[in-house]
Amino acid sequence: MMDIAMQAESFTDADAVREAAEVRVRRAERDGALAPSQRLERVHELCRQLAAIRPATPAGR
Amino acid sequence: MVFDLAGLLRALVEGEVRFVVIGGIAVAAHAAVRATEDLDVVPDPDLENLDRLCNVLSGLDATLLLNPQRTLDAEVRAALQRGRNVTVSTRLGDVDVVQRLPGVPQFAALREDAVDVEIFGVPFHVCSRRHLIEMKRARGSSLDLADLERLADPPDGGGG
Repeated sequence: MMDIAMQAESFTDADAVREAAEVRVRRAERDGALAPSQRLERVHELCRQLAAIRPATPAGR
Repeated sequence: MVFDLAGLLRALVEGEVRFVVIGGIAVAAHAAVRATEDLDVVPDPDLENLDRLCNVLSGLDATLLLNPQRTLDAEVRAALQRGRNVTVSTRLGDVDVVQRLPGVPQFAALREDAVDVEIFGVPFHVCSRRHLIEMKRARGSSLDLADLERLADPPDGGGG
């Protein structure tokens, strides 16, 4: 894992891409520990929230 | 593991953080709901704004996803202020703070073209469909290519 302080000055696009890939792997490992029912419940809850996204209501009109 | 999207957005908005949402949440806003695991935001790089962002995330018990023992300490905050990306886990879910990634426009450009949306009464900005497509094309992973297919369809499913 890249050290956040050491990399701050010389953080390149390639570093950013590499780190994003590392984050995806870490998440996959973490989510792999979930039971199928937990995963399904999580997706269900997420879809419920995402489906609630609406165009903003104009304020003060 | 919790992902309270509305809670995260509410915390950021109430903390007066300026940001534009990109990634899977933006895909959901523009095209189709798909599973996503985090909130991706491009913050206004203004130092005070980044400080507010850190304060909000710290208030949600943020730790670095790749180094869970580490909080948003002074060194991490300084790195963020120098343009570093930071991915954190909070008690409401993960947040990717993106400041530098190939194909991701600067905040000002994203904000100018952004779309105003809301979730459960919480207003926020998502990047435009055009910017989202550009970012997906630049990355080109299998997930991005699938998102491009979703984004190519009319949002209401019309047109055949």
